[in-house]
Amino acid sequence: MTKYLVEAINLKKYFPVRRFLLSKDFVKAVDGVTFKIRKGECLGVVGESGSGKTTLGRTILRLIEPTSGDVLFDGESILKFKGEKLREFRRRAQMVFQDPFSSLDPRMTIMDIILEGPRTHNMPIKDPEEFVVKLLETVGLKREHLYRYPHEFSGGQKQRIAIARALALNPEFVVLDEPTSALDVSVQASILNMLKDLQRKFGLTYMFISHDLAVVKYMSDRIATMYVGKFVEIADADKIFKEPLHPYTMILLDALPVPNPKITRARKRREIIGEPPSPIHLPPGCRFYPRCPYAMPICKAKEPELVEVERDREVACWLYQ
Amino acid sequence: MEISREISFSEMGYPLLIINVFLIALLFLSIIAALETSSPNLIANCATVFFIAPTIINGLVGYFLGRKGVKRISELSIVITVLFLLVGVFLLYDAVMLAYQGIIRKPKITHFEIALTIPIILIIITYIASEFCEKKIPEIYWRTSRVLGDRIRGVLSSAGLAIIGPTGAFFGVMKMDPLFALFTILYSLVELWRTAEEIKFILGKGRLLSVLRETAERTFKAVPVIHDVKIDFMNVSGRFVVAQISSTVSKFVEEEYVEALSSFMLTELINRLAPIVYLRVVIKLEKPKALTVAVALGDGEIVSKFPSKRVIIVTFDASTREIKEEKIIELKFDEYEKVPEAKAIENLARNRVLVLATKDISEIAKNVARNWFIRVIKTEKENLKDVLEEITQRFLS
Repeated sequence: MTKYLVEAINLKKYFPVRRFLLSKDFVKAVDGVTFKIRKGECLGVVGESGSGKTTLGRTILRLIEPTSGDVLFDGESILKFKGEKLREFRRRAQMVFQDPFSSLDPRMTIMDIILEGPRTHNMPIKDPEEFVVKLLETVGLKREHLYRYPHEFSGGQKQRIAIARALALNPEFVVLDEPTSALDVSVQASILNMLKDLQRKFGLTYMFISHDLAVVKYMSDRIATMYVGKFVEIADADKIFKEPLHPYTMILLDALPVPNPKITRARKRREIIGEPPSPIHLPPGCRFYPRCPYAMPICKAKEPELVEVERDREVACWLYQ
Repeated sequence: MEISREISFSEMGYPLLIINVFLIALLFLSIIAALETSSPNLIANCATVFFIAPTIINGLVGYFLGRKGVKRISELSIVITVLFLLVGVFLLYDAVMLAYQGIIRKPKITHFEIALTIPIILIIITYIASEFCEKKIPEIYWRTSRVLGDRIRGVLSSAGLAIIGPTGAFFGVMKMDPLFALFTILYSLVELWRTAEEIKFILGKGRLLSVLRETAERTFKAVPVIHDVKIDFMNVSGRFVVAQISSTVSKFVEEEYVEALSSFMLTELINRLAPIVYLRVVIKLEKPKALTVAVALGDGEIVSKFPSKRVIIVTFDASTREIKEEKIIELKFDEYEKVPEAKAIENLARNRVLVLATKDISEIAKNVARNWFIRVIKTEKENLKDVLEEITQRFLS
């Protein structure tokens, strides 16, 4: 038994982009990501749209095959899983998708949606109805919802159903891919609280993907900042918010609204310059340097590695190397 | 002391050599097909290969002659391009005449086995060559490999078109060969146009030269240790750039960072000038005419640790050791500046400081100084005069 439930080792996922006939370019959605998630921990992954967060989440669950690298789940490589072992992994690791409106089959009742997973995995369930009711109650829904269809629910309720469906398989690891981004703020809070409660209750390990830093801070023990397919900083959530080290994390945090107008007015926001580079042809050297306020000559020539600058804190920036 | 770095043979020369071997095979096979079959499709295809060839040959010529320091590469590449274009145009004229005769009279096509087999072989060779091109040329030169790949894939399109007409003739529709040749001829004209544009590119190399000059002046000279940058030569071989630059770098830069400096210059030029086939950066380490030092100051003239609130920047004449200029700059940053050390060092770099003397230095400032190639010396001395004396003793004696 290892203390880490999930370990990604130099994980890469490139998508081929065909131009004329044979010519192939690759979108480097995930480009050499290494990290570990402890059992019972929540690792938050933040980054702007298109940085590869969702692809990373799907790759570590092997919903899409990685181009190279490895993912260890409880010490075993998931890429070697086949047959029964793979089915078992599919049960133990679940994903909650961003859009509850499209992740539920509109032709199935809630009972069928939730039982679909356990049935596929031949899980022995004595009383299916009670099993589903218990799950619905866990996520804050009622028995009366059992035979309704997804269109009869609000966005927040649908996301609760999606979470109940993931929990039905009694997973150990859940990838939460922006589970609240499609919901309004009042519903977001209740879903986040519920996710936290479930984590405590069932000892779940989360990977929480979001571009909303405030939400990630609330949910995560550690936070990884992702920029164009790479992690540029990983640290404890408190440390990252108190003292971000990577210039990209600093800029992301500066973009957070502060609930004090005086501070907001006084604070000169560091505005990020330009657009992220094309994930097909990345600039040589550090991929953030064209937008970095601290770019140095070395940044143009060599890409910085993710190095441990203090205990449990890794940064990929030449400022610290 | 002189250090040089160039685009190596394994990175560029070898892949270009192999792609040219593929090209020779393509030329050889398409000539055989054209001569043996009298099919206007295959003659037009042969013309296309001749139109595509100069780009690939010029790449190889550019690499090897650039390496040898030959300066008249552009002129040579124009000669190569024009020669191939002339042969191609002659072949294309022949294809047009044959197609015309085939349409108005009974078309002639012989050796169907050659007419059908050779285009398939051409397609296979082109596929292998384009795969090779994408895999063997390092990603940093992606613009070069894209130009090569795009041109070599032109053969694939042409061979694909050229096989349709003879296939129709093989099944008894004899007019299909001359009629379909019109498409192959049209495609060949497209490739002719693309190659002719290369001559325009070669003649317009002044624009590239100004990019190179701007890079030298703005980007390289912004690094304090780089005193001077000279463009030894910059040529265009077909679609590819060949260049050599020399730079004079202060010998006070620590030797272990010269490699990083050359890497910075090389990468920046590849990024700006691509598609590039050959590039050489020569770094001459020389004693500068002036030595600019910064000393971190606390109260009065007491040397302090860095980052400090102010620094004194002193410029010495390297030969007389006399102070040419001195100024005190305040290193004030607003309270929201998260890495003031980085901004402070950047400020020193803008003032072309080569050496920073301080009592102590923070880890980040040390890293940033190193990454700007500024030498940091920790001094035990308290007084500014003593520190300056120590520096002149160490660097200018």
